Amino acid sequence: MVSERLKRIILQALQLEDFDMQDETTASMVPGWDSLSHVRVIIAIEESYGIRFKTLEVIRLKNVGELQRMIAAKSG
Amino acid sequence: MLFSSPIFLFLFLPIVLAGYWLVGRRMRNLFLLGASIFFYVWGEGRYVVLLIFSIFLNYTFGILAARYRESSKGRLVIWLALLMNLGALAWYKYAAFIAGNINFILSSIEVPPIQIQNQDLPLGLSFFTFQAIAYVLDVYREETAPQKSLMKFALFMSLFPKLAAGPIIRHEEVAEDLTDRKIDLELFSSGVRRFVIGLGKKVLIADTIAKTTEKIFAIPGQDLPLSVAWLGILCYSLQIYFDFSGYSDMAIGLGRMLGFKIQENFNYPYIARSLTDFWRRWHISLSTWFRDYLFVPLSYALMTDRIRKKIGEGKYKTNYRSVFSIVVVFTLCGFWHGAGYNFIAWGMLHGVILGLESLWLGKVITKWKAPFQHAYLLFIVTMAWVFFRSPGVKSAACYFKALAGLTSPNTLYYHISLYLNTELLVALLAGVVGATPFSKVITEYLERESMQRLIPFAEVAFIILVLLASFASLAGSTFSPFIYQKF
Repeated sequence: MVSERLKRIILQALQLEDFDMQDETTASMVPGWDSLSHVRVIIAIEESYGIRFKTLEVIRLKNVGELQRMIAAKSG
Repeated sequence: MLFSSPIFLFLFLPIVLAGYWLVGRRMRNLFLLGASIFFYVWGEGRYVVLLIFSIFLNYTFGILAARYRESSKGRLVIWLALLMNLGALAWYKYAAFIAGNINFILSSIEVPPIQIQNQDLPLGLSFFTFQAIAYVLDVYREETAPQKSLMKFALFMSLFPKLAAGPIIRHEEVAEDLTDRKIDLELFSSGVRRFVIGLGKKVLIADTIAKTTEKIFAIPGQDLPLSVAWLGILCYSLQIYFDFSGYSDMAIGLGRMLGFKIQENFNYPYIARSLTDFWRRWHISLSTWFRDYLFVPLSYALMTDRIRKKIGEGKYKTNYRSVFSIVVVFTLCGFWHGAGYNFIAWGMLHGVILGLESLWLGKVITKWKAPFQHAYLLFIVTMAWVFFRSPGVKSAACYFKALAGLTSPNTLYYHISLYLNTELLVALLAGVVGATPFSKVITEYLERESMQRLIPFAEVAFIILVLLASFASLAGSTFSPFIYQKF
């Protein structure tokens, strides 16, 4: 499950009103989520949760579900 | 030795495949390494020394990068690896270009110029250098384990299917295959089919269209009529796609015949609906290289604490820093293709438009109807190819004038009817159809209509047809190298 908090951060970073996000949602399915805005999404998450990703961790992410799990692992 | 040359098709490949099956599992790596080195020596002779030197050097860097991870020694290893690899590339590919630019400045202050001869670019140097850099960085970042066996590492670097022009493979992708690869009949036959498709793309479509491209781009810019200029750029757009994706298909096919599963390099780029989408589909191994090893580190490095805080508070609305990074990265990507301002212009144009798409253009485009999105993408990409194909920025500018109808051409001497012929029209039609996933549509149709049994039959018939036509075409053709082998 994608938490409301994560969804809100992603939407804000991408400047989107709303978008239905599931575990299986990938970046290419979300309008405006490209490599450039990805940097902003990741930093917004890092700032909000007070965590840091490794340089390439974020590139290998398959979908939003995996992102959610990684946040949980890092902040837990 | 080109994949589409008779010597490769009728001598090298059959001998290598037969030998590969005969020597047995344990000797296969050694045999394949020998064949790959032979392949390189045949093509480049003495420069094999450079390849071997690069193998030893990067093998050592990999071991050291793993040993000294996260320490100052480790960082030193990384910088040394970058310096040595990029140094070799700079010397062979860019020395004359850089010297030329320096001399331009020196001449204005009346200092004698630097004398540097134009170097021959060793075959595949741009590709294996990038592969080596990715390897050392991946080891350092714990993305892959260092390759302990020198022989396996040498094979990873020199594997002949991808040696001349990629795809740029990652160590992690093939690490298992290097140790133990299973080749079954299914993988082998899919490799053969893929190779034949690639051969057909190159020989039947790219090489046929190339004849017209050459003629049109040889016309002096001021004499080029509007219609001929548009035909020329249409031809080149299809030629470069079929040339390079054909080469990639052949590389992937050869890899499978030998038990290596190499990642896809193209995914119907011309059906993309934005430039961002295009770069997820065109030369994927290179664009991901630039993303992972240059764009990501650069754009994160530019995010200072102040910017991070702004992003956290949702106050950093316009992501100028990432836009700056993408322009820098794509300009370098252009420069990677060749030491010339035309390549720099090509890359910069792509970077700027990608940046604009990320800022606002992308959101505008998504609201358009599909045909307009396709038209937009094809317009951008074909216009950029003018820089790519022209020998310099000046001649590109002349070509743009012709495309805009701003020349006063000799329409009689260079009339479009002189360039259109049945052979070209057939190749163009095949090219336009082949650039779309048309075969998938047919397969799905047959499946829907419960005619699955026809699929294998149709496929085999098609493959045989392509193979025979390619052989027939090769018998009467002259030498025509792959475009990307020049890079």
